[in-house]
Amino acid sequence: MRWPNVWKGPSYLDLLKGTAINFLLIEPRPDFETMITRARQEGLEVAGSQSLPSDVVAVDGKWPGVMLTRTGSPDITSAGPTGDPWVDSNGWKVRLAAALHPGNSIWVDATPVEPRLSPESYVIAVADAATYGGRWIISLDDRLAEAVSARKPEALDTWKKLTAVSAFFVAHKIWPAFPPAAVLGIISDYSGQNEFFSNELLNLIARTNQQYRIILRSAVVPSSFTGLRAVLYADAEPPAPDLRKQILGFVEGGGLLITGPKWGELPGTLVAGEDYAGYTTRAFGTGKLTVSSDDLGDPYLVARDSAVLLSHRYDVLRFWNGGALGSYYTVAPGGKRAIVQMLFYASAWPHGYPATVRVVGKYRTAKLWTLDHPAQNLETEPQNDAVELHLPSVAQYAAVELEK
Amino acid sequence: MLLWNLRSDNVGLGALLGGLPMSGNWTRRELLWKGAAGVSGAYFFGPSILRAAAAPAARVTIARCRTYDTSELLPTLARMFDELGGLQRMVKGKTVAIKINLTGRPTLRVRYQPLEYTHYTHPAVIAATVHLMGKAGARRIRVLESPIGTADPIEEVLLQADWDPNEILSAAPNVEFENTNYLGQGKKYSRFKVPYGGYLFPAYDLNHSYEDCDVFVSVAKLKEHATAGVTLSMKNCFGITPCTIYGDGAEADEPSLIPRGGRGFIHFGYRQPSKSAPSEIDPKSPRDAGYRVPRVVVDLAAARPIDLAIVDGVRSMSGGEGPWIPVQLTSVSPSVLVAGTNPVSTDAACMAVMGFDPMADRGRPPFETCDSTLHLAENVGVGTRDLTRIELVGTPIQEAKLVDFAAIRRQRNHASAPAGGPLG
Repeated sequence: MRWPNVWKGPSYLDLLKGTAINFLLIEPRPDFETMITRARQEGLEVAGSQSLPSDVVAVDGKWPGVMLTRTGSPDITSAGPTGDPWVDSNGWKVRLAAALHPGNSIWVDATPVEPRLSPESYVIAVADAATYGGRWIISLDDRLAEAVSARKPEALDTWKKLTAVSAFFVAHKIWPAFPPAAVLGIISDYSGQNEFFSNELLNLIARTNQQYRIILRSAVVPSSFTGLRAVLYADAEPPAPDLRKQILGFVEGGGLLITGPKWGELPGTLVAGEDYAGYTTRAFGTGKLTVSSDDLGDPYLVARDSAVLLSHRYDVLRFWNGGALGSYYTVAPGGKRAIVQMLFYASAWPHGYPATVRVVGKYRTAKLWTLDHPAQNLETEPQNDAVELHLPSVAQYAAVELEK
Repeated sequence: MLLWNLRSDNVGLGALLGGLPMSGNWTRRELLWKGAAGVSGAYFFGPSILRAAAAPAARVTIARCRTYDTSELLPTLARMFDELGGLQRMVKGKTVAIKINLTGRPTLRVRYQPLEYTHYTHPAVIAATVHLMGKAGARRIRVLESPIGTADPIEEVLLQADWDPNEILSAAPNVEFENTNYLGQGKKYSRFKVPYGGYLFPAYDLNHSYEDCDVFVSVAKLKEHATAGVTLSMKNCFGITPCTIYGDGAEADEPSLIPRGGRGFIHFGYRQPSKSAPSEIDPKSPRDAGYRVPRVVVDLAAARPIDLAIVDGVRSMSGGEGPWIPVQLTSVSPSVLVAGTNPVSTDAACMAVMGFDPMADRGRPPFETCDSTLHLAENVGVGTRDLTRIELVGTPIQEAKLVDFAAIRRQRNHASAPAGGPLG
């Protein structure tokens, strides 16, 4: 937690009792010394406001939620090119940082910003990082910090809720540690000249709710492709011979490669009648390559096109009435247990109707976890290769624990 | 240029115009309309009652159908088509275009109901229609829709609705989908002039699919509509307008490459279509959606005539056209199918089955806040809404009226429920 400057006495440490908060980032000021000493005595770790532990990677995050217009009107949202609401989320950053720094903890540094401040926005801030395995560095806006300091009931309610939510995710930190149930692998070095495009691609693919796997170009092994239907290679330079061989092996075995002209020489034979949005398709082995004739310059289009090129037929999650939604589907080793975590960024369910989710997998039981109510069993509606789950009305977050 | 597929029983002028060559800039269809005006006595300027009396009537068939099981649906539809004179006569050797109804996003449901149980044309009805068309010898069957805000292939939209497109694609030989919300597979947009000059627009630029067909079929859902009162076979075709030209995100001068947003500006007239398409006839006409939408629907029904209207009322919803309508929506099972070769007459029969008076005008349910599309269509000779002039076959209306939409509507509280949501 980033310690608020208005919390000037050791007595404020009482607010942390019984919470999952165990690390304080405190500005080095003389008037904080007594409080720092007591914090350490109580077993809390303390560091300067910019000094993170060596095993922590901090990502510079955005205040998550549905972006409002510059007017700040709570009734008007900012929309992307399709008219869908624009959602700021740090989930992809957490996942990328975890892939780039295995073994490290990922903390999200995102400061609350007007006009998107509400008790719910703090819940979202915690959940948006924790769903994907990160931790939000709790940072209260000045008004809330002062109101908590003044022991105002509404502010204390918000604080209580925020700490309860943090505790919930600590109790379930295993969920995001399970491997993702991905259908699309995104291969890149995520750095240098490829950094902007690959990062933005992750951000935008997450918004399409495609379940993806981050594959580092330098660390591709045969298991990188396990369970995938497609891989996307969009780096500015062609793959090295070994990597090319591995990717084409995946295609030959039935996979799909989505790439651009930078890939270089293309094997296989052209398939007529399967052109889409400037992509041509080639058959190779039992799989296909779909190659854009133009450079893959717009990550928004590539993210959108990849969903169609791969086809929604292979969606492992499908939502109805989800609104501005984020999702993360992870499967425990052995495949008998899975978790679908869902973040609802909008403050109200679209049109007042609760969500339905279809999850691929022959699951027999489902348990619903929310931040407001005890866990409860959910009825599963079996389909051929999936189950459909009708969620009750829930607030910003829900998780479904599934078992076969 | 396409030879319009108007049947003589639609206008009563087949003998007069049979084999008529095109001359000047007039299409055969425009000549038909001008001929109709002459025969009926100053059609467009005469009293409404005379115009109504001259509007063509055609047979409409109504059938009870309780489920979407193929074993019930397929023979029911086959019998209905036979009652209309047989599909073979209409489609053998022809390219058939079928406009289905996929209003709103495929990711929205009414509560937990699958979309096809409330507001989408059920895939079983589409597949059964396709199957019977194929069996009747259709050369090519094209299933069309302009799904809101996307240029994605229709197959991908169906998958998001949890349908399997293969069930439709495999229902007959040579079946394909096309998203008509943009240029699609065409090289250019096709211009459709409104034969009577148009209520709102003199002509509309549409995806090529609506021209490159011999037979045009509207497979609609039996529903109320927040703006137009009801949405049946004619209102279904409001969605043939591409949003690249008529959508909120259309470019000012040329059509946009991909569609963005819905058709809000057709509803409210706050802008014009892309300049590449004809502008409104009278930009000072009312900006009221209840005035504009019915008129555009009629313009389209005249410009791109519907040869066969099929309305799926096996399961549906009461209260509006989709989940975004902010009133108490009710899932209903009217257990009925309605079909006819004239869309106005078919829609009139549907209204009667729903418990509404098809002769109702603005101010009476379901047209409390809008003009009657049926009346407007009748006035320009698209077809009659007068049940006394329509030959109804199959199940009598009183027996088919299992769900009284009008009664449910009366019970609903409108006071706090303004219309809103996607304007598709």
